[in-house]
This record gives sequence, C-alpha cells and structure tokens, in this order.
Amino acid sequence: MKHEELEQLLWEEAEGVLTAAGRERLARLMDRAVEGAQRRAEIAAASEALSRLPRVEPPAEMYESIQTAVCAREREKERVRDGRRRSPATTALERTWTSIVGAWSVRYTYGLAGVLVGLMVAVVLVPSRSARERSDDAYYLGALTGKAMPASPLTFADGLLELRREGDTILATLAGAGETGALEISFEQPGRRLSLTHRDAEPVEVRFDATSGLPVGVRLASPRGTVFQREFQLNEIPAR
Amino acid sequence: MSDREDHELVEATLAGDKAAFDQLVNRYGPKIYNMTLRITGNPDDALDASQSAFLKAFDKLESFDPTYRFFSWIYRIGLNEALNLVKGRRRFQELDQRLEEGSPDPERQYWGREAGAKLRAAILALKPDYRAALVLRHIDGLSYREMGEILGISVTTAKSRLFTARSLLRQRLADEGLTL
Repeated sequence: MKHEELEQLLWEEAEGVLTAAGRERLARLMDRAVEGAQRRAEIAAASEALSRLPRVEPPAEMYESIQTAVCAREREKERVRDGRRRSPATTALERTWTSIVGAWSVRYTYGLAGVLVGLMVAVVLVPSRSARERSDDAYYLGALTGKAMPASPLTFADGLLELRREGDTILATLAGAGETGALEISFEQPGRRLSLTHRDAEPVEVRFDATSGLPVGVRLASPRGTVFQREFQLNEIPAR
Repeated sequence: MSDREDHELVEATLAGDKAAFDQLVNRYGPKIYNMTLRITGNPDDALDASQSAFLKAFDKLESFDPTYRFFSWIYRIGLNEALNLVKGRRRFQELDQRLEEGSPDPERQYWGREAGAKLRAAILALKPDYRAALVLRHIDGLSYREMGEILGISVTTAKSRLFTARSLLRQRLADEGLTL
C-alpha cells in the first residue's frame, strides 16, 4: 500500500497537481523509501514523455465528410418531414378523369393497373431470381434463411447474427468467424456508416446508435460474399 | 474558448444554424481525433471514430444536458466510438507514418525516437480500458473528476485504473529495456 501511495504521489507531483497535504505525506514517505529519489526522477521523465507524445492534425477530409454528412442528414430529415406533410399530388389527367367518372373509379383503375403490372413483373423476374440464387455465393451462406431477420436470429454456416435494440441503439451479436473466415458487419444510415471486421471465433457485441425515423441498412459479409443484406426500420428490431 | 460559448453554439445549432456546429467540430476535432488515434492506433479508425462521434453528437444534440461541459460530452462519445472499434476488431496496427514525421519530435528530447515509438506501441498493447485511462490522464491532461465523468466510474476507480495501467505499461517497457 505504501508503495502504491508513493507512486501515486510521485505521479501527482510530476503532473503538478500535488496538494499541500500530499506534499507533506510524500516527504515522509520519501524519507523512508529506498531508491525514492531515483524513482522520482524516473516518474518525472516518464510523465514528461507521455504528455509530449506528438499531436497530429486531423486530415482535412474529416471536417469535409462531417459537413457533408450533416448536410445529408438534414436533407434526409427534411425529406421525411415533407413526405409526411404533403398529400399525394394530383395530375391534370387524373383531375379530368375524376370529373368524368368519379374518384372511386379512378382508384379502382389504378388498383387494377397495379395488379396487372405486378403479375407481369413476377412472371419476368421470378425465374431469373431463382437462377441467381443457385449460383450466387451471396445466398450460399444463409441469406435465404434470413427472411425472418431482424425479428429472429440469423444462422449461417457456423455463425450467428442476432439484432436487438435498446432505445435507438442496435446491439448486434455476431459469432462464428472461425471456419467462415473474417466477418464484416456494416450499418448504414444517410450520411453515416459503421463497418467492423470480426476475426475471432469468440462472439462479439457491436453497438450502432441509429437515428430514429431513418431506415437502417445492415450488411453482413464473409470472404465468400454477402451473407445478409437488408434495410429496415428501427422499430422492426425487437427490444432487448 | 469558454463553456458558455460552447453552450451558445449548441443552442444555435439546435435553432438550425449549421455553421455553429461546424465551429464546434473545428474547436474539438483535433482533440477528439488525437484521442481516437491513441486509442485505436490507426488513422483510418481514428477518422471513422471521430466522424461518427460528431455525427452522433449532432443527432443527439437535443439530449445534451447543458449543465455539463460540451467537451466532456463529445469526448465521451468519441471515446466510446473508439473503444467500440477496438473491442470489435481486436487488432492492432502500426501507427501511421504521420505520427513519426512530427517535426521536431518532442519525445526525442527525453527518450529518443526509438523509445518514443516503443512507448506508443506499449500503450497500444494495453487493454482498451487501461489505454483509455492513460490517454485521458497523461496525454489529454484530464482531471480525475473528468476521467470519472467520461469513463462513467468514480474518482477512486479512475485512480486505481490509472495505477494499474501505469504498472502494466511499466512492465511492458521494462521488457524493452525502458523505465517508466
């Protein structure tokens, strides 16, 4: 305890924050300490060296990217606010048609057109999607099993990704970088991106403080390709 | 720069004056960047952590309690970002050449250039919590009370953690033939 106290007082002395009482106590301890003077000199030099570790100027891109991201964030928030405020625009054609056949007829017409387009898209896209799934490594490791994300944990190869939420903070538990190789998880919101690489077999918890009201993109990738990629709203993630 | 000015800038930012936030970034950017660099040991990570810290601060500015210092708040956010990166990645990289090119290198006057590099490497080899304690106290010169505030621990724990951090650093440097 004496040794610890002496060290503490010597450091405070070196930093110039020693109180009068501390000075007295240090003097008493120094009288009894063997090699106390040598230790005092060592600590003074060490304190000086630590405090003089060189400062580095941040790269200019730090300021630029923060400004850009802040602007992007502002624009996105404005867009979200405007989207909530504005009622859907009415075209001149719609107004003319409505005056002739009435509002409900227009809605039914749009609805019917939507269903037809949807069917056509399904006919064209479904075969090509299946073909891609069979050949794409992106789906090999578990993207197909990720449909329940983020409500349920995603299992893939020898790993697991679980998303939970505390307020606006997303807590991602990631495990299984062993056989899978290094895993990279990234979170993205307008103007912000957090990307982390996990190389150990031990599970790791990653925190991302999201901005509420904006969608969050989550991507998990292994050296073989994308394991999981989706964008969702914060409230889709179950609370811890 | 006084804290009152910081609070005025915070209020101006909340009122929609984005230039006020730029001033806060300019004022504390260098401090936050250097701290994150010491914690992560990697300029790219330091850049990521610093950017993320300021954006998070911008997003959460409404929740900032003006009875506290803005510096302590942003510093804590930056520290958490840096620790998050370090704990997530669990890797160390050599410091960027930019650290080596300081002109003149003050460490040279005390321990010599090689010893200075060993000191930096030894700090980076410590566990992140101990590394943070050393950086806060010895590099950024924060008081024990500020350390406690930022790390979310008591003053007594801050002192104890710092003592352990110094002891571990001393052991590491002793292996390299240096005294701390």
